[in-house]
Amino acid sequence: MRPGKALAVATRSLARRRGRTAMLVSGVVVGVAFLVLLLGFVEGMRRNLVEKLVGTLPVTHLEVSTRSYGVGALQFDNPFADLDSAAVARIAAMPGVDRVLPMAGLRVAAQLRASFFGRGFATDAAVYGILPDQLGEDLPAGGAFSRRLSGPVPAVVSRKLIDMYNTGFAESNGLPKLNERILVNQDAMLTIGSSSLSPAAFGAPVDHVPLQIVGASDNVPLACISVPIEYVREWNGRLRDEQAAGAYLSAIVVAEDARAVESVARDLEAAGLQVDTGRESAEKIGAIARYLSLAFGLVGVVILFVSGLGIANALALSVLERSREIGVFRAVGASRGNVRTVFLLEALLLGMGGSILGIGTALGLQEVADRLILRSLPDSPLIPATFFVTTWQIMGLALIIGVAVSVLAGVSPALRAARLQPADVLKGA
Amino acid sequence: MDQAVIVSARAVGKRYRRDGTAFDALQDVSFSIAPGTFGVLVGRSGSGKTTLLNIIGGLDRPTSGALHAAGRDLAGLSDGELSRYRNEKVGFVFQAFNLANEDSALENVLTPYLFARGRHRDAVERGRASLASVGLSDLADQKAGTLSAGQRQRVAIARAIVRDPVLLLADEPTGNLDAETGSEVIGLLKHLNHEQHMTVIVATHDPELTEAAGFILTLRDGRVAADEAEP
Repeated sequence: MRPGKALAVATRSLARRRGRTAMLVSGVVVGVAFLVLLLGFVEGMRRNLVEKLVGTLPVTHLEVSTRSYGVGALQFDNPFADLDSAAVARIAAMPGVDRVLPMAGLRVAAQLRASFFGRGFATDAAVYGILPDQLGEDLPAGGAFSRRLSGPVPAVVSRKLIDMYNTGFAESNGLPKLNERILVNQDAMLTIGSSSLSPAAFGAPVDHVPLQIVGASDNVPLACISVPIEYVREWNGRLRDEQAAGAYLSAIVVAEDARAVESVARDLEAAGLQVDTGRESAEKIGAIARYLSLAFGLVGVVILFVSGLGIANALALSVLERSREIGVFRAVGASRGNVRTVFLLEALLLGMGGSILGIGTALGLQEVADRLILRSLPDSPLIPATFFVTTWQIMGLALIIGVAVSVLAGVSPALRAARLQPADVLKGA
Repeated sequence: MDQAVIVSARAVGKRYRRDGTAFDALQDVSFSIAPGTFGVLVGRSGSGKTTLLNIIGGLDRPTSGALHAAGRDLAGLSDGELSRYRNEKVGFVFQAFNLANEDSALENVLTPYLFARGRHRDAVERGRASLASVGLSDLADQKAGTLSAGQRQRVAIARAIVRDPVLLLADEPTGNLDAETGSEVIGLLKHLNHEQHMTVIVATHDPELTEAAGFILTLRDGRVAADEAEP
């Protein structure tokens, strides 16, 4: 029996029993859609966190944190250890360390005001002070990123932040996209000592500082404005105290080579400092994503297994109902193998149809869920454009699992159909 | 096997086992049928007619003895070979027609081609010719379920002969028909036997059929009560 003919027989049989076929397909649809939805969500979460928020540091770079607590401008001093100039000097003297790039965080609130394409906006901003060395190849030419005697403060923004603005905020608000060329030389105003949470908090002094964006880099913290470190130290000293002026938020420790990284990290931890690499965070998030994928994937597989049982039962019932038809097939020349093939093909078609519809359903639901979630969240460049990333691999996996469950469910009924004795089932009127 | 014999049975037996009890549906059945014969198997219900017909047609296998048909030792054939024998050499007509009511007459007639090689266009051509030979060329596209009982049995006959079999086996073909329609169907079977020289074997308990038969095998409790060739 040629595959085309077997396919025709199987298709005709499924078309004849539309109600039951629809019921069986819907079981597969639910299982596959659930699987794709969950795996797509986990993959989206992993990518959004790893690729957009964490990033990865070069293998020779370690980030040593001050162990202060808080986010952005809202920082609390570390009660256990300070990362000050002396500490930075001690780290720099450690064996295997090439150089140390300290970062200072502005210890008071700040607001950034700017105007793009004729639209002004204001946002709370975290301000970091960094050394020009940290920019590496992204360092603007001509000493543009350095302490100036007068004029606006030079600032650098994260390239990932621009990317997130373009793919999230700009797209959802119908705004033009930004690029580095547009941003460079853009003027802005930084209001230090004020934020939307605490405008001119507690009578603290407020300072208005003009900023000028001089470049973008992958080597600066994500959601903040990075300026030459001297400015931040000066502002901290003026608006807080001397201790704040001398403290660093964190430092990038550059090892001499990749082989030295492990021993440097050990020495830093032994000195009571918190060591982190972007890679480690990415690996942790990746591991969590894998566990979640496994857990959610298992739920999807369980649903598919249940629909597989439904398919097995329905096909078994179908064998009973169609015993006379099977008998006629055998009488006109079908072998046991032909009968088996037809039943397995029916299961395969149910699985394929259900899986394809399930994947389509999941993609549609992801679109709807994205819209609902994004509508309920405030506009922010930190909010990703989508919470789901359904790769070809996820769709392929769902298709394979959906089809495999259906075909496996069809094996027993197919064998039963092939074993029917035509002489028995054709007996009587 | 003798070339002048299309079916030859030697001490054929069929034993069924149900619930630990053995039951002999056929015992020591021997006969020979010449090609082009109109043969009749007669006997009461349960005498073994259907069992013997199924064994001749390769739907069942004997548990003892030997049966040769259309030049083949059926006992020695694999499932695939036996299936090909049914597809190419045998046509079955059942009492209950066994048609797919949702399909058209032509689709029913073409069922054997699902398991045969060849182009679809040729099969359709052959199917239409087969329907024409049973007088139903106008109803080719009509659903089988909408046809009368006599028309449905004609469709079943068209399906049985569409592959030009050498053996046409009919099990109580008039059992579900009224007398007039039954006579028409028997007339059609005789016509196929005379005009196309097809060997026709009919299992029946209708004694009238025996009148024109060239071969009669009477079965009683699974044994041959009498057999006679054309005088």
